This record gives sequence, structure tokens and C-alpha cells, in this order.
Amino acid sequence: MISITLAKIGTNQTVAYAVDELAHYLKLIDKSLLIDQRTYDAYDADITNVVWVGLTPMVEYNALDDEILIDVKEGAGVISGANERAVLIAAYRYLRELGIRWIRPGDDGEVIPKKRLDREALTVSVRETPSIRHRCVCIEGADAYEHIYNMLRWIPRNGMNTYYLQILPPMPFFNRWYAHTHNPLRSPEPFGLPELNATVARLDEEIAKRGLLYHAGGHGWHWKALGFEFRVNDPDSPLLTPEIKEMFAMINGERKLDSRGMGFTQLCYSNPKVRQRMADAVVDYCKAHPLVNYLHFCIADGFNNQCECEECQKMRPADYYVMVLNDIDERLNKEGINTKLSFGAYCDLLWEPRHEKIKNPDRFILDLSPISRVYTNSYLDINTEYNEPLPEYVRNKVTLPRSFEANFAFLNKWREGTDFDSYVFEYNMMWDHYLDPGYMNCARVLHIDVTHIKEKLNMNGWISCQENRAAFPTGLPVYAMAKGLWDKDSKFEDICDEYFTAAFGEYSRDVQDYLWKITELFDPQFMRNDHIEALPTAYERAEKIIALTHEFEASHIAPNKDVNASWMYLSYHAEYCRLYAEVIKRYAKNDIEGIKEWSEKYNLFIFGNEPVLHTVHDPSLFTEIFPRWLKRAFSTVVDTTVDF
Amino acid sequence: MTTITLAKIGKNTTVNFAVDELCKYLKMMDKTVLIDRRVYDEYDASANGVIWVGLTPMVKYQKLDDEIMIDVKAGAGVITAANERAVLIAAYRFLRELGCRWIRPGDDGEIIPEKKLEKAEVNVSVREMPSNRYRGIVIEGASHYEHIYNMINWMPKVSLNAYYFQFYAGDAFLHLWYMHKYNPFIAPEEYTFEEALHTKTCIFDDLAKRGIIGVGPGHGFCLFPFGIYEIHAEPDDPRINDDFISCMAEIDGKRGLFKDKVNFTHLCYSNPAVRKRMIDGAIKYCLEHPTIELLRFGLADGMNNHCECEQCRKMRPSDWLMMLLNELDEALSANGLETKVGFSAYVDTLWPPEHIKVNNPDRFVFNLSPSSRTYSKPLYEVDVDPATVTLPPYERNKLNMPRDVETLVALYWQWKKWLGTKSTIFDYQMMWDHFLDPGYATCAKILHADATGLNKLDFIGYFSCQEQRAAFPTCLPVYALAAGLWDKNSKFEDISSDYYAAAFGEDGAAVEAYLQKISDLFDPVFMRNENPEAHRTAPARMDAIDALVDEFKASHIDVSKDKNASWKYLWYHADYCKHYTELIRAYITGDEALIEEKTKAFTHYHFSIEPETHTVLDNFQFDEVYQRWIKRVFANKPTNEVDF
Repeated sequence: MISITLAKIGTNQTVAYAVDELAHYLKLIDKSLLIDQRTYDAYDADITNVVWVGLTPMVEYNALDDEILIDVKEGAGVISGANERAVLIAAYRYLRELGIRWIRPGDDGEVIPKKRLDREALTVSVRETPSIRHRCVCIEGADAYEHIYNMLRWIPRNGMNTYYLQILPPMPFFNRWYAHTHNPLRSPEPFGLPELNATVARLDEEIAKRGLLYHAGGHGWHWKALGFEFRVNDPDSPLLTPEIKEMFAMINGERKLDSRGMGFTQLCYSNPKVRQRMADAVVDYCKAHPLVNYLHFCIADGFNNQCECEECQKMRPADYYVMVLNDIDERLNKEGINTKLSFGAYCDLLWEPRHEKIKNPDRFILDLSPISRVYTNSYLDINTEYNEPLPEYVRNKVTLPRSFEANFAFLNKWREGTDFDSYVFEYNMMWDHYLDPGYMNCARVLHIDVTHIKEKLNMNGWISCQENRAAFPTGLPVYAMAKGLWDKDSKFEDICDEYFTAAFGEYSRDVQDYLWKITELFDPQFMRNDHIEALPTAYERAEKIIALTHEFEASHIAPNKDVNASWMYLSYHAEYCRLYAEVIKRYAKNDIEGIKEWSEKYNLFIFGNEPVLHTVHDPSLFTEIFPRWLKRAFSTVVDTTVDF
Repeated sequence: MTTITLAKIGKNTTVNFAVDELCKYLKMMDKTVLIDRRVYDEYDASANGVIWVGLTPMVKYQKLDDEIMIDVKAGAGVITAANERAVLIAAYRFLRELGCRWIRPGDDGEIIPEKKLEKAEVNVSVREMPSNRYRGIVIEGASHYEHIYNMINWMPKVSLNAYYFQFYAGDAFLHLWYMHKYNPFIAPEEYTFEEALHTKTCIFDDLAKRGIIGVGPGHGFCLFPFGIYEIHAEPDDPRINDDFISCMAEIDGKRGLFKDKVNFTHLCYSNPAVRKRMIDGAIKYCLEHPTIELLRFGLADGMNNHCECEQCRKMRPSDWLMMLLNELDEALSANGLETKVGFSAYVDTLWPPEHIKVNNPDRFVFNLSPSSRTYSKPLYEVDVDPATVTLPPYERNKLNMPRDVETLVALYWQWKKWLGTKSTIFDYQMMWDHFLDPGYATCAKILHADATGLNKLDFIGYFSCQEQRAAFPTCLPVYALAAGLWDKNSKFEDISSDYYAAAFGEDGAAVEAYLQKISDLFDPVFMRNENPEAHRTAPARMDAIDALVDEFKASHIDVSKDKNASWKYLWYHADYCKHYTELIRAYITGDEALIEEKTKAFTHYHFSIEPETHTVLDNFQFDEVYQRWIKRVFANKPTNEVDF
């Protein structure tokens, strides 16, 4: 009977949670282990028979960079970090070194080895600083509270450190879930602003408990500046008074709601009242939300929708944007608020300011959102020697660059002369991953991307704008992303072996090979209309997918489907692939009726099995774009439009 | 897919924990249930479709009386109570109504039925006020932190609400574990008072998290003024200096340690300076321990050890205690402390005061500690009307403690008449006596009868001074105690059958009958030396036990021992019973060598199974019992000595 003493340093709630988690999981590994717990005000080097957990002089304090130190010999030593969140990350790392894996968000993603822990087995030595500072998942898709909760728990377990609850208020994601918009089998459930606020209040607690860096905001400040909590999308709404409309961007001589609604309606940013109201909205928000560490400040979405009034024409949109940012900074300084502000080179704002300059760079973090990127290539393929001339800014007549290099060149214009903290806001796991049902290639590209952020982009963060339920058939992509963000030298093949061994035990290699074949047969490059040469083989490949899944189901999945959740999901996935392939076959034959019939079957399968699959599979966004993207895949012309 | 929305009211830690626990166990029952969580500032009657958890206007706030209300229909409604702790109790009650059981402290005591939770079937309606205000457990025995944690974690699950952490740091109990006294397999481990202090911090955090009424420290106020916070100090400790000695009780004309035991040494309570120092120590303790809501103000332990100086002799020890309490009340009020103060009629202070009354009865909770009582019948079952009992006279330091219930009750009534305060009982059945009933069936019955009969003696609470690990072979005694304290109308038979069904499934009734036979054959009345007649049948009864155990083991235990922990413990218990009968047979022979051999064999058996049974069986106390108590049975000399 082994006793291990966890000596908590101080009373910080995240450190306390780290100790709770250590105790919980050590007992799950070996229920015969006796866990003693103590609380000390400070680390005491003279006490050597305990595992110290908390901040220690051995790691210099750093609020952002999560250096961890684990030095435990035979069940005594120290688990420490550069800040409280890093202590929690270190605690989970200790448990991972003992063999635990969290292979996807949710309880069924826990893989806990049951074994006797003797003192020798409790020895772990690690001292590491993550390769990338900001390691973040951002809310997208359709989400119930539990889906986000699952992700929040998963994040520090895999070395990630940040969550971004985007959009003001973040209603669209909850609304997609509770309205069950595309689900033919469920009726909408009521979910309004009070429910949203109460849900976010609970998520705030979970984020604080883990000491995660908390990002919020994004789009929405312009409607908040107008005094609205939500987008007003009805052009005839009485809420759109003449005073409000006066603040809208003037386009073609008219100030009115954009045809796509308020989300795409820019304001007249040269109007001091507009800027003042935007700054007010931000400052009020910061005062009311002290937990938020990073507030994203965006103008309206879309491009070629900027104000054309005489004053606005005098400078680029980016100049007016910087004017607002400087105003906010000044106001926050006066209030003694240290919330950081994130600003983005996005759409029209890709073109850097020419007249205005950020006055206090420490307040800001720069965002690159390459929304027009194609995921066939990874960051490894970025040409760092790119020096093509960038297109001039022509108000409301811009074409967004599709190449990453051009996007990045624009960003560098923003960075000239100023060393901003920075991150990339990426979308690998938002839409594109659905084009790779084997999840192998998208995992590989994602891992390459995150391991080259610094080398290729000289940036220090990654925000994965993604479905929070993206682990079907496996959680490999996001798992590999987390691993790569922590360690840029990590090897994708090693991560695959680790992941698949945890999930599928002795069949690791077989399942990897199977899913690679699925990936190759679907051919994500073809699926994203980036490989039209593969069009003639589409039907045949779909047939092969159907045959392959039947074969592997019989040989491997059926005998194991009750072993654990990973096999269970693989079982559903086989049928999912077959239905997906059946749809592709109809597209290949341009069988309109067949497309309709099999698309319906595919949808019914997805939503009919939602009670089983909802924690790993979010079909909401893909259902919206499925017909459009598949149609595009079977087009003989490469479509270069930016799709959002 | 069932969605249950838990709407937490406010940010209280205990209510938060209640929601955490609801979430955890609902998911354990049905892992497909989707849990939504929200936080609201206050209850909103207009918002339905959720389960509100927290304080609401529907139950009037009361700090101490744990009224609960559960009104959940079709998965929506309210779980509320009179205070935050009661909300947690209500949450567990809700889960119990859904079929969960916590049949002993520790994770292996959880019986969680796995079933589909259809919303329409989630209906619970309860509105109850517990029969007793204080439903407490007191730390005793040899306890590792985990054992204490298990108990604290278990208490609100079975509606217990108060934890009495004896002594300043509980070091006596923690130390007993780490010393591994009597254990031939483990060497003593170092465990310092300072380490106990840091463990205590964690224990108090565990109490605060659950809102459990903290009670303490009891003995110690004679030591704190002199810088002694440990319960044991050697006679040559430098803190036992002239200053301290000058404050000690004078016995046989001399002031000094009583029997060299610092914790058995009273002070000279007639000395105002001594009293002032004790009160100052108590105030300091209260300020340092905000979790302590009921301060137990204890004098020194032991009996016939009070001061004999001229001043002290003028009044009974109980009068001097009253004087101290009035001074403490004034000091607490002066410091703005609302802490309640408990005090005991215990050994010498069983004899009530004659001169001094408490000035502020609302501050105080009187307590009876009948350490000399017999557990052969419930306390309230008196054969003679206590009013007719001739009380033994109080003779300073020449007292014989009454063992009969009638005298104890008569003394208690005299105290009650004098005080006019509420009162609790501090009882010891699960400290030593339970080891005399290895079937645990009879002692459970007596304990339940005591608990449900408290109102007959005008008690408002019960503190069970007990091993934290007292669940071998079952935890029925403490489980029944908890049930009886909550509901004085509960029926022991119902509790017992419910318990056995939860623990042993379809064999519940068979195990119940088996353990009752074990109890009957050991005959606890005989075992506590109150039935000399039973000596005659002892050999045959021991043989019958062996035969019964062999038969039941073969028919039931061997085939089920791997089913769950309850069966596992029953399996170990079978051999335990046979070792016990061997020991008793040895005593019957009177052969000292054989007694020594069998004692040694029993000890070895005990400690050899400790890795598997340490959470349910406190070997230290049992060893104490069969080293001394059983010897007493066969010496066949009834004694009035209080055994501590």
C-alpha cells in the first residue's frame, strides 16, 4: 500500500483544482493508493517527502508563458509551473507521463491505465516551455453547455491554455444547437438572452477554475455601439431609427442595412460619435467582465462594404480602426483595466494603416485570420521569400488574396516597426475537416501548421476556430494540434502511434492504415475542388470506400465495438462513410434524384444517431454547406471565391 | 436524448458543489443525458424547464435547521433548502430518490444504478425537516487524511451535517495511523505535528466546500494558553514550566501533571487569571478557525483529577465551567463572533452545577457525554423512572462513574433543569463497543434506536465519536444512525433491508439474516461482560459461528466475492470471524500461551488484509479492544471503570 502526499502551495483555486485532479486520477490508476493532502503557505525545500504542487521559486513566474517543471522521484518532489494554469497543465502532464491519455473531449475520451503504482513508477522528470504561447480553441458550430464544458476540461489536459468565446453575445453557436436548425428529428428548444447569459456565467466559472486565458468579443461591437444586444436584420425594423441609420456606412450614396444583415453592415468610422460609442461599448464590457483577458475588437464582417462618405474616403478603414483602438487603450488606461485587445488584419483591414499608428503596442495582440486559405497545403509550404507586389487598396473593390503568402505579406505590413504579440486565427477544423472523413490528412496538415507557426510566420499563437465537437472518427486532429503547439519538434507519426494505441490498443496500426485509406479514397484535395484531375475516379473511389468499410467492419470493428467508445464511434463511422460515398456516387453520375435521396439518408443517419454521436460530431455547419461544397467538388472549374 | 438543465442560484461554493455532484451522478446513471448548466443571480419563478438548485423564497432561511424541499416534475423544478449545506443534502436526497445509494464512506460505497433517465420519469417530491439539528461525526481512531476525507465526503450524502474535529490539529488520530502501532508489516512513519496542521487545512477546506458545520476542538483549552497545541506532550517538555505548573490543579496538596499526562491535567479554575488565559485561547482559536461554527469548550480529559485548592473546593467543577462559559460568551460578543459554544456533562462534570447559571442560553449547546453507558439497550429505554433515582453524591476526586442509563439520564435531567439550553449527546458506540458485535446487526439496531429516540430525552443532536473506518462487514450501523437522525419515524427494518439490497442485490435478505446470526452468536451483551450466564454457551456458540461462516461462505460469498466491494469485505470478514472465535476459544481455555498465539494470529490476519480493508476497518482500535476488553470478559469481573 503506497501513500503519496500532495502538498498544495497556497490557496489559489486553479492549484487546488490541480491537486484535486491529481488525487482523482491517481486513484483511478491505482485505487489502492492512499492520497494524503496538505496545504502550505509556501514551498519549503526542507520538506522532501511530499509532492509539492504549485508555484515555487524553481520556475520564474510568467503570466503568459506556461513553463512547467515536474521533478518527482519515487512519489516525492515537485509539480510546478510558471503560473497557476501551468501548474494545472504540469499536473496533467505528470498524469500523462504515468500513462493517462485524454484522446477527445468528454468522459469517454479518458484512457486510464489500471495498474499498481509502486514508488518507482511515480518518478517523472520534465522541464519544458511550450513552443507557442497562445494555444487556443474558439467556439464554433452548434454547442450545448456540455460540449463547451467538455472542451474546457480537455484543453489543459493536453497542454492547451486558452478558450475563446467569440461574438457578442455568443448566441449563434447555442442557437444552432437549441434550435436544432438542420435536425429533422428534433423541435427547437427555447434559448434566449437570459439563458445565454446564465450559461456563459457558468462557463466563466469553469474557465476561471482552470486559470485559462479567456478570449471574448470579436464581431459585434458595431451593433453594441448602436445600442443593440443582437443583430437587427430586418431593414424595416422600427429599431433602425434615422439616428441609427445615420451611423451606418454610406454605400452608393445610401446609409442602410447590408442585404446580409447587421453583421455585415459597417459603420461610418470617420464619425467621432461612432468611434466614441464603440469605445464606450468596449470599456463598459471590460469593466463588467474582469475575467476576460483578451478582448477581440472587430468591425463588421465581410468585405467591400466600407463607408464611402467623404470623410471616410480620406483614410483607409485600417486608419479609422487604429483610431478607435487608441481611443479604447487610453480609456482603459484611465480605468486601470489591463485587458488586452486583439485586433485583426482581416478583409478590408488586411490593408495596413497609412496615417494612424498603434500608440501602446503592449495593450494589443495582432490577429491573422487567413479565412480564404486552402488546406491542401500546410504552413510548411509557405514561401517565405514571397515578394509579389500587393494589390493596392481600392475602397469596395478589393479581391481578397487566396494565397497564404499574400495574406501574410499584408500582415507584415501591419507589423513593420512594431513587435506585437500575435496569433493566427485558423479554420482547419471548422469546415474543411469534413472533406477528410478519415481525419488523417487534416490531422497531418494541422500538426504541420502548428509546428511551423514561429518558423514560418514569426507568430506566437494559434486560435483554432472550430467545432467543439470534432472527434469523429477520432480526436487525432485536435490532439495532434495540441501536441504540436506544445512542442514544435513533436513528430506526427509518434503522435499517431500514441493516439491510436490509447484508443485501439493492439490494433493501432490496423486502424491507422484503415483511416489513411479512407482519407486517400475520399481525397480531401479533390473534395475541396483543388484536384479536378481526380474527378474521373470519384465513383470508383466511392465504391472502394464502401467495400473497404464493410471489410474492416467485419474484420476489426464488429468484434471490438463494445470494447470502448473509440471502437463504437468507428462502428458508426463506417456506416457514415458508406452513406457519404453513396452521395458522392450520385454526384459523380449527376443523378439529381439519387443525390436528393442519399443526401436525405445521410442526414437522417447523422441526426438519427445524434444521441450517440453528439459529443464527437457536429454536423451543423457542414449540413449548411454540404450540397454547395459537393457540387463545387464535382465542378470542372476551380472555384477561387472566398466562401463565408 | 434527455437534456436536464441545472440552474444554479448564486455563487456559493456549497451550492456550486451540489450542482457538480448532481451533474456527476446523473451522468453516472445515464451517460447519454445531456446536462446544461447555468448560473443565475436569483431564483426566477417564471423560468421553467430547468431544475433550480439553491436558496429560494420557497424555504425560509435557517442557518442550522436543514429543511429541504425537492419538487421536480418531468426533469424540471426546484431543489432547495433552508441553507446552502441543506441544498447539498437535498441534492443527494434527489439522487437517492432516483436510486443512488452511498452505503459507506469511500468510492467503493457508491451504488449508482445505470439506467435511462427519461425526462418524464425524473419526478421527485420531498419536503422534510430533519428530526435533529446536529447530526454529527467525531474524529476518532487511527486516521489517514483519506479516511477523514472519505467520511466528510460521505456525510452529506446520507444527510449528516456536522463534523467534530477533535483537538487543535487532530494530530492524535493522524499520528496513530502513521505509527502503524501493532502492525507487524509496516514500520512507523514519521508524522509531525506541523504536518498535521497542514493536513488540517485541507480537512477544513473539505468541510467548508460542503458547508458542513465545523465543530471543535473539545479538549485543549487547558493547554493552548501555554503554547501547547498537541494533545500529547512529554512531562519534560520545556513548555511545562513553572508558569504552567502554577496554573495546574492542586491534587493531594501539589500542583503538577496528573499521572504525567498533560491532556489529563486540569487547571485551577477558581483562579481568574487562569480563566482569562483560557478564554483568550478560545477567542484566538475562533478567529483562526472561521469554519468552526460550534466551538466545543472542553476541559482536560480523565476523571477524579480536579483541583482541590481551597477556592476550587467551594464549588463543583460544573460551576467553575459555568463561570468560564459566561466569560467566554462576553469575550465572543466583544469580538463580534456568533460562534455557538458547546460544553459537556462529562465524567466529573456529569454532576450539574449548584451555584452558577449561563447568562446567555442562546449561545450554548449543552452536551451529554455518557462515556460510561452500556450499549446493551437504547439510552432512552429506562427501567426505572430517572426522577426516582437516588443520585450518587458528588465527591471531589472520589467519583465512580454511573454505568446504568437511569442514573446518567437523571443527572442529565438535573443539568437540563438548571440550564434551560438545547442539548446534544456525544456518544461512543462506534468507538469500541461495535467491535463486540462482529455481525454489526445488533449494534446497528441499538444505534438507530438511540438516534430515533433522541427527542424522548429532549436532545436536538447526536455526535458519534467513532472510528472513521467502521464499515466492516457493513456500514449499516452508521447508515442507520444517519437515517434515524434525519427521521425519527424511520423504521430500522426498512433501512436494513434497503441497505442490504443496495449492497448485496438479490442476496440482500440472505446476508442480512447471516449477519444477524453472527451478531446473535457472538452475543454483544456477553461480549461486554454483562451476561455472565452466556459463558456456559460460549464454546458451542463459537463452533456455531464457524459452521455458519463455512456454510454461508460456500453458498454465497465465494461465488460473489468479485461482484463488488461489499462482497469482497464479506469475504474477508468470514475469516475475520473465524479468527475471532479462535481467540475467544483460547480465552475460554485460559491458556495464556494459546491466548498469546491466537492474539498474534488475529493481529497478523488483521494487518495482512489492511491494504484491502483499511477504508472500512480501523485495526488500531480493534487491537486495543481485544487486547483489553475481551480479557475483561473472561476475567469475569464487572467493572465501573470508564475505559479510555
